[in-house]
Amino acid sequence: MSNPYASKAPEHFWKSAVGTHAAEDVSPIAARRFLLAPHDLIATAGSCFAQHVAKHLKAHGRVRFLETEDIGPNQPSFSALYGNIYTMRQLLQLVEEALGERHPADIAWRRPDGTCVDALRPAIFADGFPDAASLHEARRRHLAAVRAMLSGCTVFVFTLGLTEIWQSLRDGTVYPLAPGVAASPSNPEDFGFRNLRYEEVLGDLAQFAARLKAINPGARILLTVSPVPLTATYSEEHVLVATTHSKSILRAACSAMTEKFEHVYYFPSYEIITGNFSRGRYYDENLRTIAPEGVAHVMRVFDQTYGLTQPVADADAPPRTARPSRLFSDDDADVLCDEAEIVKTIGF
Amino acid sequence: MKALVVTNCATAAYTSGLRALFPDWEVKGAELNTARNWVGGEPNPSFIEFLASTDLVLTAMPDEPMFAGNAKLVVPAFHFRAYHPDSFHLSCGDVAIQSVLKSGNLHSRIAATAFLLGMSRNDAIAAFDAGTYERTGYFAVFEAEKTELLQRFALHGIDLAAAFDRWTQTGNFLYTYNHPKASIFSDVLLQALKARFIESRQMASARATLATVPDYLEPSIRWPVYPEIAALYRFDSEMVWRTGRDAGSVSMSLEDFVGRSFEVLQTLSDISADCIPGFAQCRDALQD
Repeated sequence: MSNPYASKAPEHFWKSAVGTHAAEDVSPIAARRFLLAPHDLIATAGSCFAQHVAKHLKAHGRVRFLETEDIGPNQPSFSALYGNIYTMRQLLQLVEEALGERHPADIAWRRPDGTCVDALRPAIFADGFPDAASLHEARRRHLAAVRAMLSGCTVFVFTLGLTEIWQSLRDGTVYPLAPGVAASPSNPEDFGFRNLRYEEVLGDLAQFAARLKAINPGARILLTVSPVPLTATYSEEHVLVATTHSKSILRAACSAMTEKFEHVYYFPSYEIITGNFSRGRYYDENLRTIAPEGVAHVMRVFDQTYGLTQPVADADAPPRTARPSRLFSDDDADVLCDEAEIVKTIGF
Repeated sequence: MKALVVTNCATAAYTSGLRALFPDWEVKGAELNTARNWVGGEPNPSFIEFLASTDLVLTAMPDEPMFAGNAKLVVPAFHFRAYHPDSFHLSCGDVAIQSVLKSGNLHSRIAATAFLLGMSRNDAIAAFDAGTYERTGYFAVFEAEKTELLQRFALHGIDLAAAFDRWTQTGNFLYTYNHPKASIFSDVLLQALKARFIESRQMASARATLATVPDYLEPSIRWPVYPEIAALYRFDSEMVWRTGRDAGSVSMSLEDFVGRSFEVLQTLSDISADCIPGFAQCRDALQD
């Protein structure tokens, strides 16, 4: 019997794919991928590492980054003003709320100075809100932007952060930060800690994939796992063990999702940063946040994977729409009607 | 609250809509070319003063220099080409070629391509059939047009997904590819205002209020949804073009329309394939 590995390509062997390469040349391009086209509209959400992806895509000339709210220079760089979304359950609840199916009971938390914080996005508005009414008004606008993002994107990039959550014991609402970190709810006893199990993470991911497909049938989902270790764990484990626990579940769930859903893909930013080939130099001094060199490596492989390094004419765009090329003029949207019957002014 | 609407043929609909929804607002509107003229060639002090003092500008052209200092509500221009894939705005160089509909410069790609190919009028008329539409790609544009429309509005926080599904269930919701019926403008305006100016619970009453807004584009030109295309989307349609009210609301059959189109095209000395988007596809379809 011949060696079954003999037919495998060089990227399947550690020596030829990793061991003999300089760190910056390791390119774990996903076998299952698609190519981004210039007309794609990319939306992003997720944990803090996702902001690196968003900033890269925003600055990239070959793709369009979808922003459905005005993002200030000091606000997290995502497609709308939701801030860091660490878990898929948090995202799923945001979708449900945006579609009017969920009404979180307790989101206006007070700060010591008396201002209110939107507990579901506590880092977005530094000055907070003067009262709950203005907070809810801003949230209504935000939810409209989330709906627009969900229906408008052609690719949704989500970076999973961790499995530990703080949630309301009254209605199950998941919060990005624990009560007392950025502000305090009126009834702290109504909140509890949980560490989501693999089945729950996978279930949330599957629900989201199905929801997005229903809202926006053509959209693809690109999952990544944040390589940033947990800042702290509320579990009983050492933070290093808790980090491995969280990331392992998230990583395994991503693979399960790509096997289950045709429109779900995985990009290995986690592997690029945490892989031992970099000898740890892709982390900052604190061994937690990601160094620019590491981010650059991730984005370089991202561009290679999704066809963003090729000239536009060479990009082998997938058959995502049936638009016949050259049939319509791009100027159609700018046409100003000059038909005689058009009412041209009112009030002047 | 002062609001100024400066956009394309939707100006009247959105201006009247805002007035109906917010009776205590002062709302005025001017079509973009008129507004440009009023801040340039023929200054209109009344307009310039209102522009300077308005709290909000509703426009499809947020980059227009005259709005530099204004808060803007961006409502993109509306067009959906899946029902009228054969129509296009014909310009040669910078010159817009008047349509046989007597107003604007909307023309038929099949007629113009047939003319350039030297086909006879009768052959051009005969080319308006399902085979030509299929080969040109007219039957294959719906999903792409839908996606493009929804994305164009979604970029500005306007979610038309649910409304679009409603529109398509009512049959033809357009007079031309960029002239929707009044109810479409109402839905667009509602979605643009939702969350910012209208709460979800107020949407039903707001929709009822907007039902009183006149259908400003109804008197204007009509381009038919070709019956074979209409059948694909499960509604009936007749092959009848119509001029606008100011040109007598004259109806034209296919034969009349193609004949008049050829007459217009014969007057043009510099018409070429470059003037016709999609010429190559249509040429190949006609020569197949």
